[in-house]
Amino acid sequence: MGEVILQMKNITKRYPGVLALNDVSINFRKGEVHALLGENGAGKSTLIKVLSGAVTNDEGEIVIDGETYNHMTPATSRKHGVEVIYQEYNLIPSLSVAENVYLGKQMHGLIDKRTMEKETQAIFDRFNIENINPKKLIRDLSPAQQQLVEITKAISKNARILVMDEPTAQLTQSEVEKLYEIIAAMKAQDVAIIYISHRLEELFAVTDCVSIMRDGCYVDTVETKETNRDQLIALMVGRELTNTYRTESLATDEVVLEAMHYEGFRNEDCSFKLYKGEILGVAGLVGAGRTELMRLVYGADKKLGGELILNGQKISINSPKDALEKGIGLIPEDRKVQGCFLNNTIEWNIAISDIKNQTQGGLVSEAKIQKLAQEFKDKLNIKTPSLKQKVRNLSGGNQQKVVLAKVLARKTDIIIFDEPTRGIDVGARYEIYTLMSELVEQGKSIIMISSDMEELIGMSDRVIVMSEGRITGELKREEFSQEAILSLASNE
Amino acid sequence: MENNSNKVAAFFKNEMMIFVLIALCVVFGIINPVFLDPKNLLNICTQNAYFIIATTGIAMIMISGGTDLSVGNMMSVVGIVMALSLTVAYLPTPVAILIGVIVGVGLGMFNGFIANLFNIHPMIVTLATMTMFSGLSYTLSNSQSFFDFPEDFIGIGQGYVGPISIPIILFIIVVVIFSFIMSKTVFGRFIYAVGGNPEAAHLAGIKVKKIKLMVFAIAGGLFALADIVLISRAGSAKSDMGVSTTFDGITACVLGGVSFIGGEGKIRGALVGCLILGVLSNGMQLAGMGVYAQNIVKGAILIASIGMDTIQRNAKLKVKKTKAAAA
Repeated sequence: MGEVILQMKNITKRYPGVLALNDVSINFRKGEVHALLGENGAGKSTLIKVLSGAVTNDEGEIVIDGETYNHMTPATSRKHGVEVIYQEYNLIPSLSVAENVYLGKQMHGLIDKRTMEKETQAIFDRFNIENINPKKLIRDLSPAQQQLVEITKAISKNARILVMDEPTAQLTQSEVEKLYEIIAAMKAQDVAIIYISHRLEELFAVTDCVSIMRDGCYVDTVETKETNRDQLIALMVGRELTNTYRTESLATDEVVLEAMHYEGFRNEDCSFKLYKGEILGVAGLVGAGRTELMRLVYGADKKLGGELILNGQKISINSPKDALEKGIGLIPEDRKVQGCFLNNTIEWNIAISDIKNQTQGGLVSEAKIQKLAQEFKDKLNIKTPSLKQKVRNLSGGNQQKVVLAKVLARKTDIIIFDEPTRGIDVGARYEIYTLMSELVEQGKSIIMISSDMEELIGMSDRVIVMSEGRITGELKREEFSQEAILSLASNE
Repeated sequence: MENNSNKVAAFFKNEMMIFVLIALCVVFGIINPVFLDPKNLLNICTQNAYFIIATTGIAMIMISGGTDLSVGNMMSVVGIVMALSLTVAYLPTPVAILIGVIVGVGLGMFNGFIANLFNIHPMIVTLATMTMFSGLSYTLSNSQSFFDFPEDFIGIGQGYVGPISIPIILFIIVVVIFSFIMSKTVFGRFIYAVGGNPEAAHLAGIKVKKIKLMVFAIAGGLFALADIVLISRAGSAKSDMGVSTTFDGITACVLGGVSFIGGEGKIRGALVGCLILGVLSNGMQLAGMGVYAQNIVKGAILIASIGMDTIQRNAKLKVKKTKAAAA
């Protein structure tokens, strides 16, 4: 293990009413992949912002390369080679790969495109990154390729401490492998890597040690080799979580929904059945057309062909309005873009889908809305001081709960969940699983699109697998395995 | 404690423009006491009635996430069509008004329809229709002015009920009805939803395009009504009348806290924005400033009001920082 390059000592950061960081001390070493683990709101992001100089700590000091600072500024942070790759990409879509890589670098005089492109290609070569042309515009790249460009950008600045915040959220399995290779290569060059992820299996695949944070406090640092899943979760949540994955199926043999020969821009001849009381998992790689198929079923996009049978009757759905009226709800994938009205209050958001029933004498009734919102706040355990809080100010997990409440308020019998737990901390994740189990107990039926293998295998009664816009297979519970799903998903 | 002071701060922030309005009135009253004469104050309201009615429509469009650059030119078309109906075709006043409103609603729907059809931002659509409507208006009027409106038509703009002019009564009715629609009805909520996040609104079962079309149609009706008040009060119609409403209206909305991005703002806020602009014009005139100097001040006030918001936010952050450091 290399020498200590960075010490965060007794870091404390207060926001009005909240202690975001409480006396946190962690050491980071050269050539070490060091995970930061904690629920949303545990203080990981704030700690990273203190390191990058985006946020000023109230107490504590940072020792970096032997130099001691009371707080960092973006300039000192950069001087010491601290680079942060955030979840939200900081690339400029209308510029080329090479231009983005060189953005913000000190350059004098004229911009030499050819040199930029050559040097970008050199970094790609060094890390075996194929299929990205430095001349291409960022907006023409896939999210995974963009992620690789972000990393390249950090490397090109000779990063010595590299922070990766949920780097795999957008990546497919093979791209994740590529990322691991890159991390290994950087490790070999003595870069200290701080790795933030909610996916525990990744931590075991790629990190050397894990520091756990909870409610702004440092909890413990453990060697990855010497720990296990249950211990990490217990440290993170502060209590033992009983396994909430489902053990018995409640599925009946009554078909509630049957989609036949669905066609769309991204989908060809997709047919599937959903049984009453079932959780139907939909597996596939990113871009397999899962979200697109469900949007067709929900009427969010125009289908080019196909029939829908609901409870034995042929129906036509041409808009989300039709779907909701016929008893089909959809919880979208991207809660910020598709799910929430960020600038409106929690109660406003929860009521909007069902607003026609939240009226008194034809007028919107604040009293009814409050009652509805309070009901869901209690039921879903939405953590907020007030229902009048803007959704923008909530954590990811709580935002997701608001989106769930908004759809559940319509009391539909069929609910489509699209990546219900992406980017959500363990505690909220288990709450969502419990909720799904409760829903099927009430006789509702669920379609769950997910890229999380554990979730698919743990929650589904049956899984259909998609690849390149088609349904390539179906697996029953007893046939579930990661290998079976992956082989259908890659259509080999 | 903290909660209470937050509430007070929030109240001041939300209602700040009302205080700005009152402050302006006080300042102009000191400069020239004639300003505070009730007759003058009522006069400001009467003069700006058409503007307030039109701005109500602009606010609705902005809350729904759109922008309309064609407002003034649309009003100009409506004015010319009504003037032709009254003074060339000699149609009765109610018929001419009906035609005017139909033209307004129709042109508004045209804007909304084109925006929906090609899925382009209304700002681009209305940039084009602005030019079209301008051409249409001058073609119809042949660059002529129209006078000699019938008495009953003129009565709309120049009539009084007691000391209160009919334009004032009209704008109050419009503001009350539309505040009510925006805050209390399902339709109003849908408008905020469509402006706040069209994709989420779509997935929540709201017919986004239908709502947008309706907003443009209703706003078109309001623009027509505004123009009826404008030309009946002036007693004449010309193709260049009312054209400045577009940008003045947007200015008033921004002053009154209606978000350019959509989904936020209140009709009441837009009203306050209109009154601030009205008071500025009148007050500066009484203070002896010319029209051009007034424009400079108007622009400066707009920058100041937007800048104030940012400065306030930064100041708050600073206070928090020093507090945190002290603790």
